[in-house]
Amino acid sequence: MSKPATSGKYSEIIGKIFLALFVISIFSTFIFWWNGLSNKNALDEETERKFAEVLNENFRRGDIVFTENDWDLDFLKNLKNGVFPVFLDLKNATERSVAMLKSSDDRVFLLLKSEQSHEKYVEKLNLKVLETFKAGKGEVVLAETLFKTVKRTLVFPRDIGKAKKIAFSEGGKSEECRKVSETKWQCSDESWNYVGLTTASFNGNQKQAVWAHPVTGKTLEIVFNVPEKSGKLYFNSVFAESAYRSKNRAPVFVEILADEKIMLKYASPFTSKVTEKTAKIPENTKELTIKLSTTDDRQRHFVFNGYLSDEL
Amino acid sequence: MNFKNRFEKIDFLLAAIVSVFVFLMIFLTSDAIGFVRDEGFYMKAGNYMADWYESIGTNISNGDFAKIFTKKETDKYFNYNSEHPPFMKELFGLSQFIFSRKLGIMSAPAAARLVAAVFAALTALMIYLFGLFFFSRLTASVSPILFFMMPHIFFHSHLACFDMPILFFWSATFILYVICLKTKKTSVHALTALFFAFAMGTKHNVLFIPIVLFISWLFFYAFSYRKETDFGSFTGFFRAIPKVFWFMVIISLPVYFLIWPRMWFNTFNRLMTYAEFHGKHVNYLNYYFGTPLKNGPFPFSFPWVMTFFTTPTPQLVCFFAGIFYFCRDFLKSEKTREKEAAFAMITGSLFPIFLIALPSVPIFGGIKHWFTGYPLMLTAGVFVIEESAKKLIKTSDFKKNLAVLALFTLTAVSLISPNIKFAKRGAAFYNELIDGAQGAAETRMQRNFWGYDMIDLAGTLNREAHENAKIFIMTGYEGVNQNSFKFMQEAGMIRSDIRATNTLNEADFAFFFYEKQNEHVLNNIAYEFGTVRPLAVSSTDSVFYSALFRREK
Repeated sequence: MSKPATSGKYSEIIGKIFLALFVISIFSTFIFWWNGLSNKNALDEETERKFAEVLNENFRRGDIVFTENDWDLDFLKNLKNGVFPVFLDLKNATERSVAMLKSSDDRVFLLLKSEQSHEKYVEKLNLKVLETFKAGKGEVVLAETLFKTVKRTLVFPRDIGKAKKIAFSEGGKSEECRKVSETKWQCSDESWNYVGLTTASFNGNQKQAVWAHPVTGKTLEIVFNVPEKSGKLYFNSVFAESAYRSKNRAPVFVEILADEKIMLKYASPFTSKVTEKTAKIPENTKELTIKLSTTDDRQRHFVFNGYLSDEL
Repeated sequence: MNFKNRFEKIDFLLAAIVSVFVFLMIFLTSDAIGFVRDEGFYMKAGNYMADWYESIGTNISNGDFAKIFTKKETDKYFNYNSEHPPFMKELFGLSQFIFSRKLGIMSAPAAARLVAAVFAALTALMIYLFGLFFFSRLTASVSPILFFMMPHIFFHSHLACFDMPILFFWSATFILYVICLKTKKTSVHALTALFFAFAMGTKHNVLFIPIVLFISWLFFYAFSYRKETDFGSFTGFFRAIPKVFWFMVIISLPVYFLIWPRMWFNTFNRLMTYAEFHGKHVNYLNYYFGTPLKNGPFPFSFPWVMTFFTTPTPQLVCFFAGIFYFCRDFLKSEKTREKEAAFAMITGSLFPIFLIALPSVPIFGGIKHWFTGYPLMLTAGVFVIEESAKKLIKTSDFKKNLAVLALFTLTAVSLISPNIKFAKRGAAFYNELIDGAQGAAETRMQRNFWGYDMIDLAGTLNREAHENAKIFIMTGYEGVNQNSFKFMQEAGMIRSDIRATNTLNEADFAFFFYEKQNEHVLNNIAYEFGTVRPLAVSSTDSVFYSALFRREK
């Protein structure tokens, strides 16, 4: 028989230390799991109800919502239809990322756990506070970002409903997509075959984008009227979901034309990284056409966002 | 590591109580646990196996015995999910064949999960025997209970997967090896090798065992065994090798080959494909303190820290105490075999964690991939606590035992609350050292895994969905997979007319399984459905895990 595990001077001391830790762990388990401590940071019902009330009364289309407590989402249960998007990444948000998430001059709601967070986020995100609402123990801040961006004359995700025409062309024939809502054009009975608003991960940041799934052998054409004073195109594209991991390696070919003249042309690379392109828009351009095509449409979950700005 | 107790009459009773209790706790709560992604594949493979048993019967009754062993026939049943060896799938299939198809007393998924419950009971029995032979009867009785009162363990014990069975095989193989070191009986060595064949037939993890054990034996040989009589010469070296290693070659490998009929044909190519699949395994993205671990090199700390934060604190203390016990045994033992046995226990406990910690090894998911050595260090740790407590109590042995039993009973009572809270989502459990589920969510740790967490939402879906409604199940985002959904229907958890889809646009309902990397799907659902208001939410301690949405436009 070997000696007991705790025999020997040092072993005995260490054994006693483990015993003490074990007894402490029993108490800590009781205290933490039985006394409500494991649930101590949850939002109370009053705060959740008020968050929803403020949003229901003040939210307008195009606004975005950030919530500081990004794991207790019970307030969602009380929201009206149409109040979205709700972003869960306020802690990592930056002035620029918030500005980029917004479509234009739309507003930002911050749902804060307490008033103490107010200064921190307003300062960090460089916001101009329009209004604050007391919400139980928390606070709702309605603000707009002061991040200096150029004036956007056309924003693809926001303005997809204003497209002049969306159609698939094949050998001279054109088949128009049907506008089914302010944010969606359905191109066939296949549910994935549409052009419309979605969100997607752009280098790890969730952003609004246009879903534009190409079809083998056809060219998807998205035509916009170019607003006055539009001088520069910003165009970002990526494969949504995990399409870039698909075994289908066929690229999506992108062509952007200003009044029939090609101003941008590339084949989307197979990475999860966003392809960012810019191009100068020729003066007096009337129409901007985005053409997308592929030789194999399996898992070509292509999305893009971007805008036209007034930069010359 | 010395034998301390013999198996006596009372041990029949105690071992049976512990094993049956664990079996019932797992099997009777089976319906409360959702189906993880992998489970759908394995249950489907089990179906193939049940078909295989049917076909064997048909072929025999047709007098076409040889057909059973043809390539065409074996490929038909064994090609599916060929990246994993078949032993567990054969058992899932056998259970389905008997209890579902022939007796009709349970659904196919329930029959597959019955096998999981049996392995949980076997694990409890193994821990009991390990505790009894090497420590004490009290340790033997307490350890299985504490082991299954870890929410991650309790959760995984329900699943018709390989993780708990391989935990059983991993720990048992190390225990058997230690027994082999202590006995020269050929039968023990041969049985260990036979046992190891089935371990290899369960999952590839155990292929490391002979390698690490042989390397460690070589170390001990170089420093000690070779000095023993007759072992120093060239032939002495071969004589010194424990028989179990020879038997692993002449028994384990042929039996392994025998139970995997797919390997009977194109053997080399198929083994290479199998090795290549695991050698080049994809990494599953994990959030670790806010950092998405996408590509290597991965932090060495990952599995250690995860173990630290996902084990209930009483068991965590036992882990440390157990490692202390083995280390002390290694350092203090006078005999080399004792040292080697202690070293084998350290290896068995920590090697799985160490392996995943290597920066180049992909992170395959949650702790299930390195918990295979937990039984060893937990049991030893329980013994350290028992011994230390007894030393402090100055009274009769009976009263000492009673006092220590009271201490462990108190421990078990303290663990009831976290176990109930996380009974349905043990894979999401974090202990109080990181402030529980809320603290883990706040620090951006991976909140949950494997898309199983639909069970709390199923009632609402069944109630609210119109006939033939379609539900988006997030398959492309590591949510539920089609197989798991189908088996949930077969098990009666979800109405059979409801259809699953991977296309949000055609769905009437959407299942949202939260993982940080899938956060954007919440807004995708909102854009498509016109609302971000959920019909139902599943949460623990107010932390949101999954939700059900209905199309509002």
